[in-house]
Amino acid sequence: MTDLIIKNGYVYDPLNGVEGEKYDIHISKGKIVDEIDRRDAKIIDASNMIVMPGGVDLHSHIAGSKINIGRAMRPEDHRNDVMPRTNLTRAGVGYSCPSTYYTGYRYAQMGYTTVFEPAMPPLSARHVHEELNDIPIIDKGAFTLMGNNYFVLKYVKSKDLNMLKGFMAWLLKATRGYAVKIVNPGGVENWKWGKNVGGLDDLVYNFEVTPRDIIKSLAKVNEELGLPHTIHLHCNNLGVPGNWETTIESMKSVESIKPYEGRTRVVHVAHCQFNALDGENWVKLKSGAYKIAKYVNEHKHVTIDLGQVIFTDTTTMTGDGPWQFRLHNLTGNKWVNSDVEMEAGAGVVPYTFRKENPANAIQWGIGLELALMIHDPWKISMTTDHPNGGPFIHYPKVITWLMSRKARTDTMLELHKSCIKRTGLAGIYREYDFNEIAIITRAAPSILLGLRNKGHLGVGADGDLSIFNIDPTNWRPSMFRDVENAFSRTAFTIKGGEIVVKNGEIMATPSGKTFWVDAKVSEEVESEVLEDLRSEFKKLYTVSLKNYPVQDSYLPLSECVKVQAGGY
Amino acid sequence: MKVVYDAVCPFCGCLCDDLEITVENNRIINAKNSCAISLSKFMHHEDNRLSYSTVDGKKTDLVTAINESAKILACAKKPLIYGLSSTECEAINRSIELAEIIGGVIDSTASVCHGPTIITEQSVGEIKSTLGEIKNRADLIIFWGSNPTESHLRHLTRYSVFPTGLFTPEGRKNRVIVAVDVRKTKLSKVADLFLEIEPNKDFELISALRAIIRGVKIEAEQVSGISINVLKELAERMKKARFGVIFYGLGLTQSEMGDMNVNAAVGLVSDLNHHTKFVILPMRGHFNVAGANAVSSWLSGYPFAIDYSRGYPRYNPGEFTAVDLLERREADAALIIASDPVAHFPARAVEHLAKIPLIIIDQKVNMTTLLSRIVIPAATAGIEAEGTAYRMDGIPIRLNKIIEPVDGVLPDSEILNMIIDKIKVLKGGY
Amino acid sequence: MNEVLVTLISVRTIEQGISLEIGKTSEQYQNSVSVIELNHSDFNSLEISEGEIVEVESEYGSVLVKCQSSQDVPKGRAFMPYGPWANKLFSSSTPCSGMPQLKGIKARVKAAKGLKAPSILEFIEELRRL
Repeated sequence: MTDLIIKNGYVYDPLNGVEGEKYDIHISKGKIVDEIDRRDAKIIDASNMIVMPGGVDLHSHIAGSKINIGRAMRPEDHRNDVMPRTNLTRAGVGYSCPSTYYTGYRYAQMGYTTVFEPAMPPLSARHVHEELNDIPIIDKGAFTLMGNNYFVLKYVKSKDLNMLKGFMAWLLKATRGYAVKIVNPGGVENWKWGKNVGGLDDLVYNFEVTPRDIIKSLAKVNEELGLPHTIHLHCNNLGVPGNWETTIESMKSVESIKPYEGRTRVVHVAHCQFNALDGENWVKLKSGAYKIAKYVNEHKHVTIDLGQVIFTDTTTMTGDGPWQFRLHNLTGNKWVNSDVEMEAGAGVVPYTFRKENPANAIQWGIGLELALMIHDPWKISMTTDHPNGGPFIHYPKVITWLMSRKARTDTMLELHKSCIKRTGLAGIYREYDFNEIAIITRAAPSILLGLRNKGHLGVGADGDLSIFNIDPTNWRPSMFRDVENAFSRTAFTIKGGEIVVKNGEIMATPSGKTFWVDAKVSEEVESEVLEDLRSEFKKLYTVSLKNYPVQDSYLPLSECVKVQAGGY
Repeated sequence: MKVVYDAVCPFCGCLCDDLEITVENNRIINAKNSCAISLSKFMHHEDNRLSYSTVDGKKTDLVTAINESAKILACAKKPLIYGLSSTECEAINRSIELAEIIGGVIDSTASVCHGPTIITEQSVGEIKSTLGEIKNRADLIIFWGSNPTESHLRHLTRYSVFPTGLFTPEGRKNRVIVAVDVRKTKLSKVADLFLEIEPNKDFELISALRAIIRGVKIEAEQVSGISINVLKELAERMKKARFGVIFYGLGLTQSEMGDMNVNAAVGLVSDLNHHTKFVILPMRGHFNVAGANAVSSWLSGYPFAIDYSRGYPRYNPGEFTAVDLLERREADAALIIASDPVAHFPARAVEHLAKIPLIIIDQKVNMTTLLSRIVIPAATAGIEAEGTAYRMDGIPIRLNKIIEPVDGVLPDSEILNMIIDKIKVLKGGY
Repeated sequence: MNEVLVTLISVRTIEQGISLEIGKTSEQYQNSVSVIELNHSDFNSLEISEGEIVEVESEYGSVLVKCQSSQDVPKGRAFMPYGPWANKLFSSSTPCSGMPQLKGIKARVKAAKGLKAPSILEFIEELRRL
């Protein structure tokens, strides 16, 4: 691979304190280096352009049974965006449930180089990995669902945090997962009887534990294990007006958990917009963003991602079975429910966000309010919870709304007036600058994920870069359309030191690697957990314990992050 | 001698993974825990095998067969690739890439099996769970148009009627079993309630149940051969179940207006979810038909009946489904992978297969191999080749390679790779 | 000549499954799949013995197979294992669903004493002549 020198670009590398300075970046053998021999290097002229680390998306439903259900059930979705085969690229389709090759290409074209699938049911982890292997270019990983897992509930009930620790480590390894994902803790188990939970202190049938117990236990052990990411939480009561209270309760519940050394955060609240609703019902809906933002501003232990709404036809899909049933009843749209024995659930329902729909208008406002009212951008990752809030290809739009009050206002004026009346968005003047955008789309997600070599351009980082054809010194927020164009198709995307996109066109399709975490626990705990699994598996599962873990053949290219904190 | 424990059976959608296969000198000498059909598969896997390639009936080497196949497929205007459900996912993955390269149509056996299930998923949805949920929770199990005692032999013991589970400690005693079928079967004799339904009258019966559950009064005294009182009782049972499931099979999908039957059945279960927990699961036949749908969906966006003639995937059951393509005499070449459409398609569709250049990759002599211009022998997935298969409920399990295939007999995925490489050369690069 | 009108349904059977795993050209496959099952009284009205050959005819074609009786088969219905013999009788039209109707079609059954059910190889010969 040829060495690269990216010359003359305006570099935004927030992790290393670089905010738009002009300097050259050197890449050799796939990594950022200090100096290289110019004679052997290819020069990329980034004059008048912005250079950022490759984008990092820490919550996007790109691989596994849910998104695959979305694809199969929505042939009508794909006709909106077709991708013919070329001599370099495979054929594919979009739009809200894109095929795997399309996913890799489109992310790369927007300058993203690392994306994580946020909800992997352990029993079908193989499916997630098979799909990840067919997503080109980007590096990737997946979060393992744990919040409604039988063994987790069992150990939470018996308050045996040692066994919980051993099990969490075992499950991450068995699924080649990267982090602990919790979806509607307790609610999905109750949904297996057609019920749900309504708050943190409701009981989970047959287990007699509460969502609060589950969240606290998993958070505590997550930190003790020293896992690179905090627990990733889809709160109870998603989509229910008034749920802002549940969200703050959830954040409060782990206030006193001791974080792993060197960090202050302990919980990441996913797609916070869907859990920032105020008002007693849909008719009285209003924004709860202010209350959430206030809490997040006053506390160090929480991070969020936005779950921003885009006005388009899209597909909702979550591990929150009861919520999806509710949405099916609200809309009358087709509905797929998919419960996974002993572990998890899922539901998929198409949904259209409409400008004239008062609730949708408020929801759109909430996502932006959260980003604009939370002072510290390092606590925020920009997402649409693809495809729940909207397809990821619309990220550049979100960037314009954050960077330009005019862009926001233009859209706001097209919406039902509830956005102006029931959110505070109209009164917000703050506009993100390129540095802050770089934080919420690259630097912060990498920190949150604990990916040391991503999201920055310091020496030793992976050679993942995006170069946007826009001159920050000549830019004003009224020129937001230029931002949308520039961020939709990069001038260059570089992945692992290789030029993969040039002028928006795919130039190369290397395979990315899958990150997963191997967390150490003591041998004693490990063997006790295995003992318990051996005794219970046959009775409970319909797959043998031997066939359950994901085999090596599903990870042709991977990076195992070894974590030692939990073992001695 | 060695024993492979927790081996996976590559026959039906049950994908049982608790078999014990004994091997000696690269031969399978015993299979424990397998049903009668599985036993036949393992113990007879050497019978009637294809052991060499043929072109126009004459023995030839693999490379020649590959080259001839590549020529036919590269030059065809509307090549059809069909089968897929009895091989493993990597091979299916290659097949889709092949379809893309030759601009052909690719379809799996789902189109003549649970295609209606998929079509229903696209209009109404699906309400499902994995099989362990049934084992652990279900107290009302209805088999509709499905006879697992003949087709999915260990379903009753592993998943549905007899096993004990977390919330079903007494197994059979914790469950009420209902069978709806057009005749008595071994299943109906095990069931607590048997409804003998008139053929082609499932839609009416399901609709009547829906109406009763919604509180609508039915005027008729019987529907589809079943008395209204029996229906009312069944409706009550369904509403009051703790966790109910309908397993449905080809009785619904292959009867008149199959997709409307499934549509109504899913609607019924959707209604029931307002009363209690209820799911509805298709009894997928082949061991990897769910895998064929899964791989197709993630690579092309569509689960079956996919056309690549415009360079990007298009989907249309009725247009790109194999039986229709053949019936309308539109396909001008066909590549069959691990399937026997000459035996399994209606006669008129088969007649067209006899007229076009036919290539088959399979393990055993079958009707399609006897008719094919080119025959390429393949290793048996799950016995001689490993890979992923998706169980009927969508759970992926890794198939075993238990013995080595005969020298020169390769797995489907490798054969397909060779064909792809040759076609790329013929087409000048991509 | 006696004939019986039936609603014909193709099915899967254990014997069919076992025999197709041996091979489609095997004797076991021939014996277990080239068969039709009738209700006792329908069977008796044909005045044949168990296992004798009948001709089954539908709107779309006809085929010769062995005939058996069963007490589990209701009057007016008939069952054939899914395979090349049954497929002679089904239409390949699929009202835009991809799925032909393989269960519940009208057929008539009459005795065909002295004739033989075709073998797999004979089917292939017939196709090759097309």
